[in-house]
Amino acid sequence: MKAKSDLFQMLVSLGVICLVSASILSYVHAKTHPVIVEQEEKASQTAMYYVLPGAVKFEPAKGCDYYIGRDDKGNLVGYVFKTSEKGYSSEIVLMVGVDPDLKITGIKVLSQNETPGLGTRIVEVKATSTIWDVASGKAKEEPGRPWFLEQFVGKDLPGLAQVKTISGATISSSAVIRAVKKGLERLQRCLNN
Amino acid sequence: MRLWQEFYKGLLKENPILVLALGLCPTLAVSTSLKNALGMGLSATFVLISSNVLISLVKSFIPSRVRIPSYIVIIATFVTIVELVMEAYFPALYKQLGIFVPLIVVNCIILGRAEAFASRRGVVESFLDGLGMGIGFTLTLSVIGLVREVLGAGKIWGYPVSLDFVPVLMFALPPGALLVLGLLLILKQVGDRR
Repeated sequence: MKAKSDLFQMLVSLGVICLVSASILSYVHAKTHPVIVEQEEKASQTAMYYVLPGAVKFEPAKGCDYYIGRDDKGNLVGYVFKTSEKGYSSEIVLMVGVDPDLKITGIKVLSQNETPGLGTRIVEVKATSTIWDVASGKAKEEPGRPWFLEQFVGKDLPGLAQVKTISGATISSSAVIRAVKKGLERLQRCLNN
Repeated sequence: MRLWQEFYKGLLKENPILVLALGLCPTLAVSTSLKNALGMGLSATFVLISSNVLISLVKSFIPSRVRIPSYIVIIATFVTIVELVMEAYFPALYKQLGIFVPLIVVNCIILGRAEAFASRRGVVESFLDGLGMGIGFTLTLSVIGLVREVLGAGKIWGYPVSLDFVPVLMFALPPGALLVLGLLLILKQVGDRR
């Protein structure tokens, strides 16, 4: 009898704790979920403006996974698409913008988790001011763009062969090239149909 | 006076990393930069204080045989709250810390303090213990993060220290984390012997 009531007590207290936890978490989730979705939307919007300068409106293409960028008069500025490829230690997700001739206008890495100091050099920005400049307020603003990704700007599909990989980060940087190539080929197929 | 002791002891005398050697996994993994270290330290501190206070409040209702699963559920709840709030309001930090936020659940400092301290003491003491341990953890993590960022990336808070400094890459990688932690432990020991 004693053992039975012990067991009952354990079940009840653990059950109550789990129940309270679950209800608190569902409340927090309900509160934060819309904000998280909004943040993601905003991040991907910002990335679109970054990779396709000049476009102000983006509309999703029908039947295919890319966006059409137009300027304020409704003229075609180019296309924007997402693409990804397995890097060294993570999936590298990119946003790529191209003009109507499929020449690349910009690339942004949306997410990656490569080795710090090695693979992360794919998003390395050439430093122009030191911490001491920043602390004394002498720093020039404008963070600059990653030099590796800037190589892609102006290149089309065959031109990708000229993009140089980073020594010490070969796997990560060639994954970026492969991802862009894959995305461009897919876009081409979509546009031809 | 006695109460303040519970706070102070976490900073040096019973520093969770340097003396208790708890929570080494997040210590080694996220201390690649000062920013990451601070973000991780503060989130863990929040979870530590909250779980310490709550556990010391409900300790008499939890049968001792199911106390560990109960603590884990409580801790996991706080961690999930931190994770959701961080993802919603600090997306940049969330992207940086990534997988390590959910892993706060198994940060043994938190379960360790719940089991060794909060389950036996009052609410105020548990709060101060959590605060002291959390700050001790954050400070140690930040020191390691700062050293590794300066040596391994040549930067402080993401800005370069000097434009022509060539970083020692090893310090950004796991071996560098072990080295810096080891050196800190030596320093602490030497300091204690004095």
